[in-house]
Amino acid sequence: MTEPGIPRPSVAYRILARRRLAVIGVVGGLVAASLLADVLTGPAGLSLSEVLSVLLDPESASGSYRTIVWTLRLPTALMAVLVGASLGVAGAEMQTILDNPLASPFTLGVSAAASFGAALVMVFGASASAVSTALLVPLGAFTWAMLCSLAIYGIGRIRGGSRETIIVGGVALHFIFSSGVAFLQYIASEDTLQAIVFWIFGTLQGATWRKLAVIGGVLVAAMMLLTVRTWQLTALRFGENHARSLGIDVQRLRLQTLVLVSILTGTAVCFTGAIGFIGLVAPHLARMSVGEDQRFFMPLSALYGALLVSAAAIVSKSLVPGTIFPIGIATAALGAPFFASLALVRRRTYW
Amino acid sequence: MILEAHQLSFGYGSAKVLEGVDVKIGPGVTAVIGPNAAGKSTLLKCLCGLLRPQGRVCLDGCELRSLDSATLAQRVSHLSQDFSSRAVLTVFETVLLGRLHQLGWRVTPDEVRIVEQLLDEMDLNQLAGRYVNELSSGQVQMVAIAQALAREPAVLLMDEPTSNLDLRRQFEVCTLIRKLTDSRGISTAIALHDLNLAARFADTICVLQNGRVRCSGPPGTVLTEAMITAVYQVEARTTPDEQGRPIVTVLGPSPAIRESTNEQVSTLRIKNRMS
Repeated sequence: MTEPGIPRPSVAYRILARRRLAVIGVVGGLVAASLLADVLTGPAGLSLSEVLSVLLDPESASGSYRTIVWTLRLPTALMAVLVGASLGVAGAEMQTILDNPLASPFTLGVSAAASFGAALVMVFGASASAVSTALLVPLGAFTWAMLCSLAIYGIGRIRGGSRETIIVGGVALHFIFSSGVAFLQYIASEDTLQAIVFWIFGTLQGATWRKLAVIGGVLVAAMMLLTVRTWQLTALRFGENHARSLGIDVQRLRLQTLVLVSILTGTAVCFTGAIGFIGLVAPHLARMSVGEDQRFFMPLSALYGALLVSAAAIVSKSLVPGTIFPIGIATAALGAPFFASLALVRRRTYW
Repeated sequence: MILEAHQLSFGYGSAKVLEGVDVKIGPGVTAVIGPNAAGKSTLLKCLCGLLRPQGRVCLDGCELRSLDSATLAQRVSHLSQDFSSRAVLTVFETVLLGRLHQLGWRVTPDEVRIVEQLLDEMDLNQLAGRYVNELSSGQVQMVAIAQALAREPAVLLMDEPTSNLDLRRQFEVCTLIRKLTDSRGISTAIALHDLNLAARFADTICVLQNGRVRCSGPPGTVLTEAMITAVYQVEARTTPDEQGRPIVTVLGPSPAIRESTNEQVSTLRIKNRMS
């Protein structure tokens, strides 16, 4: 029945799957390359062979080189990759469960709540020592991000978990927390104000191996839990009622995913501040490359997120030599025009 | 498998949609007909467990409530009217997702073969690689039907599966549903507006009116001129075809309706004149 020259549907399906795996491989390679380039960039002017020898054989390298690569550059570069991947996955799943192309950790107020939590600690915890501030600020950010998600969860429960109520609730929370941050800035001292503003800009500095372990652990756990639900999440794209006809408990799936995604976002932003736009752009790029089969869509969203933040980190280091531009500014400044151009040049409809 | 409902009642808030409905789906094809808002869609949703009505729904004597959602979804396949085709998924992937509860991380050759056979059977294999968000509404409907069949259910419930299809496709879909019902020995219920399709393809017709079963039975006994006038408020002629199944010709609104419409028009005229 098939015309000659056109492969059988089963063969075409296998070819498509292989092509998608290849795309994931290529983007994964680009992430690795970007990671290496990120480690190479910096004021100390280390060459590729020097960096490689320190990376591959840290024991025989000189002390200062080892500090630059292993304590400063590599953790920061890995932080970019892990935070980008977390935000990419979070954005992808938020867009899936809320059936909305504009859903992202920003849209739902989770990032604003994190900023509020951080600012709250900075303003009222000023008397605490520097060490405890370093611990309390991420903790405050994470706590408030989770409180925000709990509020969204609660709103969703009351009204039966429909996507409209979750979005309306999220947008309302976003504005509430934004005004809270503005209020804290208003009452803050000049030094604290500066600290708050820098936190909101987002920064990758101050990355440590311990922080990396936390973010990495949460990312892996969240991706594994999402993988269990991979077909259900894919089927959710046929619409809520149709998914229910297919035997999916849509309300439970939506709320469980929302909680997972909130933990993921909360962990990522509590160490780095608000890095915008990744959660929005990465899923769109992934959707255009491999469609919405979650087996490919979710990992590729993570990889695109990692690539974008890593590239932005390189740009933020090289823009003004000797200084590090806040990464949040770089991601939004690069991401927004890029996002708009995606919408203008695309040939197919992706939403 | 036989799906049976006893004394089903359901309402959205205070508005009663179904009242004391007794219905038996299977063996063979049952067409559920009736005017808009008669409760056809609600009945099908109650029968597949999407809605929780008062009364009992039993699948081969086993209460629906006692089955878990995955088992239920595998045995009773419901094709809703609100299939959203915005997903960036190919037709093949869409049909494959009908096998949701059987799929593992790796899609097995068996699953792929089931989908491919179905696409062949429905003559959809030229569309297999196309994205569903780029198809016409008629094509989307065919894909949604294919997905419902990919579930290999024991009971198939379809809510107006022919609503977006042209005449040929309507006929083809009904023929296919008839064929699969017989070859797989499943029980099928289809909500339909077209009485002639119902007469031609169904073994049993169940007529709903205002949330109650008005009558049910074989097409020849149910589709009478009197029933059609009473339920649809139209005047109709039925003539038997060569196999004795009724062919329905709608002549126009029934006299009672015409008079009341005329009355409304004349009252309106009087009012207009007075103002």
